[in-house]
Amino acid sequence: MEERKRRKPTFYPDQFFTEMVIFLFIIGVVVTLSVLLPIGYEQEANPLITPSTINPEWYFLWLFQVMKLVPPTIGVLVPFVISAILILLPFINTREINTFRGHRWFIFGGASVLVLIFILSIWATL
Amino acid sequence: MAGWTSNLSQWVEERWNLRNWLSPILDTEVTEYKEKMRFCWGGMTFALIVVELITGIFLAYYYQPSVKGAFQSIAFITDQVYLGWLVRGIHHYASYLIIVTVVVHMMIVFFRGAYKPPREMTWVSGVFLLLLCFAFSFTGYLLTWDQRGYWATRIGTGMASELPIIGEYLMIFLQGGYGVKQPTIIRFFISHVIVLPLFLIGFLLAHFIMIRRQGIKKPF
Amino acid sequence: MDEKNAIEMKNPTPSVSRRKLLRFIMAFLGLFGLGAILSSIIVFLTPPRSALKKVGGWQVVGNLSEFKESSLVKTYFGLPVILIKNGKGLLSFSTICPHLGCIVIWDEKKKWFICPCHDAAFDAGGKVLKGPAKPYNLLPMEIKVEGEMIAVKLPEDKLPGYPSWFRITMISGV
Repeated sequence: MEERKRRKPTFYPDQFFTEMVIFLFIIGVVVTLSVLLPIGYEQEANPLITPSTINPEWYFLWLFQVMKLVPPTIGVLVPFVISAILILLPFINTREINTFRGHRWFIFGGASVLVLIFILSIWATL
Repeated sequence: MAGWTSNLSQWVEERWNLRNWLSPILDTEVTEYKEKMRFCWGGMTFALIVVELITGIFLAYYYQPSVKGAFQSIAFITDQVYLGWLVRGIHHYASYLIIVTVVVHMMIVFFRGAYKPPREMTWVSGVFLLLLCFAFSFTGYLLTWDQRGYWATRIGTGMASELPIIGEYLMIFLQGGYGVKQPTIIRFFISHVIVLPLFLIGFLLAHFIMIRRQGIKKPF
Repeated sequence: MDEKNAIEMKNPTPSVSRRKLLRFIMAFLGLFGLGAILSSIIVFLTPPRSALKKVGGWQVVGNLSEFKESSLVKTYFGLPVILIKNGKGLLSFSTICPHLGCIVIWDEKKKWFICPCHDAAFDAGGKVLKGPAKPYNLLPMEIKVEGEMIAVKLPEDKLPGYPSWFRITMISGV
């Protein structure tokens, strides 16, 4: 027992079983959602009638709103620009800093983008 | 209970000595893990991806990738197939949760500054995994061949054509022809169930190997 | 003296440069092969030109006497087309929104065509009023009346100025 306490936690069994418990909880949520809010199906596709309210999946709503506001060519470049920034991020910001204060401007920038995406998503549903 | 499981593991160990072979993975120290639950989001994403793979395989048993059959087969799965509604529901809601867990996972990595060298390639592979998730949802959305999916695809592929220079080619490439029609369903179906999963598995492997080799960034 | 030394004696220049050259050739061949495979995949997955089936040309819509004053008639030949008869005469245009391709709907209250996708609006003549479709109007169609028969001409070829997806949709139908 003493030895077990002093032992450092390892992936198996410590992390593995903790994550299994969380996973069981998440599966519970998924099954509950499927039972309480069954997804069913809507109307079959009709190429000649656009439904009067058309919304994309909730995680694309912000892009949908952007497309309403700017010319198509600029709007469609937005996701490409964001992806490029995300990919290049570790090559732009390479300084090893071990405090939140140390890279507060990057945190601020990232947080503002998230807030902006959130606002655009809400706006699209209005 | 304990008796036969330990007998079983002993039986396995005597023959293949798996515990030893898998030791580099199983016995990795995760000192930070115990106190900080925030490190579970990547693992949860992976677990949900496994759920998507399994339910996706089941759905493919009944799904028909054609203009005439797609919507009918979706209705058939929902109304007639035993537990079909449940499998569809899990596939649907788990995909929503993946977007949530992926974004939270990325946010935590971002705010901790864990993407910086030497872990930059782990981050880059993670961004590609995020883009793959969106590609999965874009291709999967059309397969039900309902109004929402159909029009989302027409708008989405139309948007692609607005790109400078390659736009028109890209739209025809994505649609598999001219307009969102039968070739588009086939193209999206094959991408959704074969091509994207292969890429996904590849990027996941790279992601995990790099994490195992480097460990996670120390909390501050 | 073993064989290896004998070879080195015959070639007094160090074999490093030759090894470098060999490695360069291998890398070149490898990259070339990879490029060939990748481009073949992309070429294979590109839909052939012959997949473009044209719907254009003159299409008979109906009889002149069937239309009441100001009535709207939709007809489809793979394309949603609207035919309007007002005080000035006959008018026809496509109801595909030139922004991103949704089908516009007539809003009786506001007296305009509205696109359900991104809120572009067009007047009763198809002219763009507001929204992201600017500067494109709904595409007008040529009309021909022969006796009682009305025909409209669906576009057969290039539509200069319109976005490329729109041109393709107009030629191939939906």
